[in-house]
Amino acid sequence: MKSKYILLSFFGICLVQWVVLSGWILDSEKIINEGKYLKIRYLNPNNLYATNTNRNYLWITPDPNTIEFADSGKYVLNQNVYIQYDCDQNNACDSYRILTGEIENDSNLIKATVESVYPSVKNDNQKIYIANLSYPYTQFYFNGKISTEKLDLYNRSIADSTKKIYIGIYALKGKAIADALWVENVKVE
Amino acid sequence: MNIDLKELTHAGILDSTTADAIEAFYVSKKQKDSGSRFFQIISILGIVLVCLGLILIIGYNWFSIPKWGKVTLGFLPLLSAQLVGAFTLIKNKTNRVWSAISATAILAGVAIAMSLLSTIYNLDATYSELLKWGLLLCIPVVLVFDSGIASLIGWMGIGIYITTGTLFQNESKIVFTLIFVAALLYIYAKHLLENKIDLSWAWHHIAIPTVLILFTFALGPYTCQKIMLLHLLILFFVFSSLPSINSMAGRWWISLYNKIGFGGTYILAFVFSFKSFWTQRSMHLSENCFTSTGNYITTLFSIVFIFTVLYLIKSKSWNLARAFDMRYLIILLGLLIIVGHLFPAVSSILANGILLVSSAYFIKEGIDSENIVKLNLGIVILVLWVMFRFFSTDIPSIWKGIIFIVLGLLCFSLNYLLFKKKKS
Repeated sequence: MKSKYILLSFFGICLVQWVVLSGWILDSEKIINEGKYLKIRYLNPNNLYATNTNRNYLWITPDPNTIEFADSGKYVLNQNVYIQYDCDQNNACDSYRILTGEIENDSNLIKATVESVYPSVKNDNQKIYIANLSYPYTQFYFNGKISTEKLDLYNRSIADSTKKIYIGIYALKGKAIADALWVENVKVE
Repeated sequence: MNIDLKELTHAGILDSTTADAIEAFYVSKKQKDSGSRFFQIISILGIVLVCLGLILIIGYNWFSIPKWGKVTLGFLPLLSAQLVGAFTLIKNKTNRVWSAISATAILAGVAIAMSLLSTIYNLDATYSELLKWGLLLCIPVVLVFDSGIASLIGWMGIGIYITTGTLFQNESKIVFTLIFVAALLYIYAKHLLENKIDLSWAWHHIAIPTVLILFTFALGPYTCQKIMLLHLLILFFVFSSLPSINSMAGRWWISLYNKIGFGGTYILAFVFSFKSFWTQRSMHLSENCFTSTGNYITTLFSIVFIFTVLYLIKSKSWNLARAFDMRYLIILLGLLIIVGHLFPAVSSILANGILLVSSAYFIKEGIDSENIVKLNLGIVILVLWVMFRFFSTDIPSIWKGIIFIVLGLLCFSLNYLLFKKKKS
């Protein structure tokens, strides 16, 4: 290939790299600016620790994490499902419905994907299937230098069954971006 | 081709002055090459260390930096690497060290930008998705700079992409993997055909088969692994039949590859010789194996296999006298997988037969050609076969002992006979 074409291809590649990465920023900014704020329960709240590196990394397992069903073909591998949340005036979402299709203009909707399906048997010997879901927000980076009071509040609330812990997210057309951890109506970080 | 200068001088073909000049030329060339390679490795190590240091310093103060400051910082390494890349293409295109450094720096720049953006926005950071975008943005860079080290990083990325998340029934992931593999295979094949193989490209001979094997195994569910074994055998068959591979027999990596391939094929033959392998319920081939994603991949593999066989017949590179040439063994094992799907018990018997006949073949070949390696290879196959059958059959200990003594004596006597034959 001639040097001129190689150089042109290189500039093209650089442009694509910038367009794709900038696209991520624009897309995320759009979700943050136009999306609805939802506080969703998550299933694996672990203790938070202050760290020297000034940031920490948390795995999030949102609720629902699995779907149980009897009809083997109802949910299949890599299928998209939509979780429609019922939220109160404080945006806390404690109940949900699982839909197989998207509802247009519903801002309380988050898209999840069926990651695996496997057969199981319930206690009453009923044969069922379990589908594991994967969500667009599974990792959350939080500031390791948060105040001691907030850290204590969060860590005490994990052991307290009367307290509800949420992950706050911006949701837009099924997409979601994690924003903060919440204990009831107190933003932890 | 290795040339012995002293021999040529002695035979009067070369005079001593020319021989000295040739020797001095190659010594100087070797020193130059080794210096350039050393500089290349040190430079890349330097880039990695500088990047890691920057990441740690920025990471320590991360939450004190405003969002747009973080975004700018995320893009800075990529911008710098792209500028270095442009400089290399304009001013230093023929310099391999600059090309390798530029390509590796851009790859690192993309990786840093992506990981920082995913941290800033808590992005949909499923590892597999990030890797996909990373590979899409980086593989064209490898093609432009024609860099062996960057290509090797690309192959490692594909390997991680394949093993992260599920590939089974994930059409888009399979298509992306095939695109990545095809792009990097193109540049590898180009170097192979032009015989421009330095150390970084030589490592591809190990990296590529490893990634392709991972790919074939990740394609199907556990219950379809027998089809994946068929893919594996076809891959080895096609790779070892490539004319460019055969023309390079004697190179270290061809030798290593053939040894691993030989060992792997015989391990498979031993696995096939167990009845439980064919009767195990979880390993039964189900209809799903043929109707799922693996279906067209199997068809693709089969077409490539048929074309390779036709090519070998046309080029007359089959040697019917060498009945246990690796290629025949691979075809036999492939057929066993298909026969085993219909008659599970028959395949186990056939696999045992293949092992015994190949053991006898190696022993006979070893004695006829006075090759001690071949002779002992045959004995090892026989001993292993006997040991494995002891585990799967209920024979009284006394008989096991007698058979082992007979085998031991056979081993000593055959080696002694060959030694004596060689001496005479």
